[in-house]
Amino acid sequence: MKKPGEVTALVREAFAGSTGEFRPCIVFDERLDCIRVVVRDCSVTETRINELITILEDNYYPASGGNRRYVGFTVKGARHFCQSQGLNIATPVKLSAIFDKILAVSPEPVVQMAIDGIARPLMEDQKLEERVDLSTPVLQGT
Amino acid sequence: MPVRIEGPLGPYFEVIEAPSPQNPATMVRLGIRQDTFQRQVARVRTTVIAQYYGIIQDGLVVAAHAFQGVKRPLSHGGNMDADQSVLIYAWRPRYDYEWVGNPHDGQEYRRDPPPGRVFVVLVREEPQPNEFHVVGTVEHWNWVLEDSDLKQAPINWQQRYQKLLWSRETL
Repeated sequence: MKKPGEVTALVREAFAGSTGEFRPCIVFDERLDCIRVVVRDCSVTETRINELITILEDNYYPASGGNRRYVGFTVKGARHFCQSQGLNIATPVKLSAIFDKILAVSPEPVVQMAIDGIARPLMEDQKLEERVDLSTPVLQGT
Repeated sequence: MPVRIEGPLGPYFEVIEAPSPQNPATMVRLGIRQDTFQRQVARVRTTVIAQYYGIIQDGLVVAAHAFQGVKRPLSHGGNMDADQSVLIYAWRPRYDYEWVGNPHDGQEYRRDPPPGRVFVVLVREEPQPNEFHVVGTVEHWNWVLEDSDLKQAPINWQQRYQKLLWSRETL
């Protein structure tokens, strides 16, 4: 186990050559085949809604934080799912189109709540670019 | 005995030790790829990096459970059945880590773990051990709710994973 301060030194060293600050982003994780949307850099609990959707919750969100509890979501098996649903991944895919397909195959209320109550509002609040490139693992942001 | 950490090494930012998927009494080598690590740095995910150093780097060796295969679609490199090549380690670490401030002069915030949660690390098996004797790569890590029956395992692990490989006997 690290002594207090050791992690601080290692993190500072890791970022020594970098500039900038965290910004909400959409990333396609090619190696785990999932789209990750993250709007806050914090410790999160990932809550599995079903095999396609996971919601990210801030582990220490303020009790009065309202929607600040939810800080992102994951669309799992994104490329696999798009291919199986006939969505063209040769060009960037609209997340809303993926959401619609997920709701078509998984119309359960809990999935609808996760998509319409959490994922779509996060995208709108953060004004995130709607299209995601599933062909390459590039960073995409606001 | 301190955990052996090497790197950078070939495509790996670092190589660390973890319990073997076959037997928790023996250790294997896992790598974290340069691009995996640097992508988190590029996104300024300071808390994610702090968790790597504070929880995973020398904590993965005490994982309580290992699972194989995620029960969800996963396509990788043209393989539509890549879900089976994912290993999952789970345990309840002593601390959680967050980062306070900017990356250059901020600092770690070591705190008690969130209650009722366990930490999971997702690993992709390499097709075969390579010249660096690395058997898998650390890909992702996060907290999940704890299972009510199997201590230190993710909630509903039977629905998430294909197989429980082992659990520590001392739990």
